[in-house]
Amino acid sequence: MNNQEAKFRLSAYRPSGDDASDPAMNEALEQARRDPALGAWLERERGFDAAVAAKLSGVTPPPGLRAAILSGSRVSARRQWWRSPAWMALAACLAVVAGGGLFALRLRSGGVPDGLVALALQDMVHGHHEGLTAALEPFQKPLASPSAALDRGMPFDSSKLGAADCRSLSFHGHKVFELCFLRGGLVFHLYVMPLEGSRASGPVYSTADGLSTAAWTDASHAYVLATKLGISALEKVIQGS
Amino acid sequence: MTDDEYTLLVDEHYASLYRFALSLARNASDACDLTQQTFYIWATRGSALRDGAKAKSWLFTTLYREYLRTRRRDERHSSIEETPEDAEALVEPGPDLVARIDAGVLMDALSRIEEAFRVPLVLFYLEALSYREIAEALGVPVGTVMSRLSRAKGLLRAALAALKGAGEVLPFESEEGRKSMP
Repeated sequence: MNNQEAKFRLSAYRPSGDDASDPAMNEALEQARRDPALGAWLERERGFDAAVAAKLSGVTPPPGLRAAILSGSRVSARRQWWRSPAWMALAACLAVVAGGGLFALRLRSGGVPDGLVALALQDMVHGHHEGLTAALEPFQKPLASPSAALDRGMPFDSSKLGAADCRSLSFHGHKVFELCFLRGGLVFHLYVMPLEGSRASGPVYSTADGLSTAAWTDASHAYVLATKLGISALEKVIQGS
Repeated sequence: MTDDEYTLLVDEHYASLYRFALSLARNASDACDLTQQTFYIWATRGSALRDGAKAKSWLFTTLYREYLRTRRRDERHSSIEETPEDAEALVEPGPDLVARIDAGVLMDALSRIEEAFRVPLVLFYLEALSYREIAEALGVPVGTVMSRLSRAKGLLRAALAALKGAGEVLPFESEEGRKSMP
């Protein structure tokens, strides 16, 4: 190994010295010990690297980021079981049944359009959810409040979801907006479908193969609240606690 | 994974992930989103990872992939990749200069480096991943990482010298510009 190759390797040698046990680095380090010119180069290089690493570590995350992360995903980390291959296969079967209309019939609820609950359940399993984002914070934050009782009205203006670039699904040519939010550290998904001339109905609770939903309508929207935490968790969100 | 284990995981990595995200997104708000989203993905998928020792590498890889997925097509890519070779040789900002500058100036200098070089360089300086882990995270050969690091350090020196020469001392982003978290 010549000095050029040693320098090439040592460029990837972390200033912390954590790579000292790496055989490729060991060889290059040994050469630097034997060759004064290479040793001097390494010393300069490590000095510069250490200074940059130290400066970079001085970049501090904004206050509140840690708390936001911890409140944002703590519980779902414990409940990753439903993403297992067996469950995904089961959910795929569920979606097929829903496509045949039987599932929609089973979950039919008041003024909520047939199939909307099935759409929500399918999206729960297969959808790529955006999680918590700054753009949706005006909607997600009020939903996270324990005192917000959704059966007394949404704690935000549903008509602004489109303008906020909220993720949406297509349902018989209509938009259905989807919002993830946390309440008490638990993950919920709310599906909001604008529905002109609707009448207030529900909520109707259902559980199918580990996923629970509450579906209801008000004068202008149909809603499906979905979770994998059971109906009692839904009731607390719907009624406030 | 228990709550305590999850909290430890967050405490151990969120700051480094944020710094990495900031170097990619170049603004605090998007960096916060990327960091949060990474842990959200961990919560829904990553915690199934059987080898806990690979969690760190998984988080950095996921953040980088999430960045690639979400970045806008019209994002401005300022670059000094075309800096002449000899220009790098002429400037030698040493540790003293680096120690004197504001961290924001360093981030500014880093942001001027083309992404292909900037990403491994920041991962290297965060010291969280070995060069082998960086190669794995980026999906490139080990030799490519070494090559890019070697070149990227020259580019960083050039960028720092250029900023120093131009008298630019403006921070990368003001504190006021940082996202306020709930």
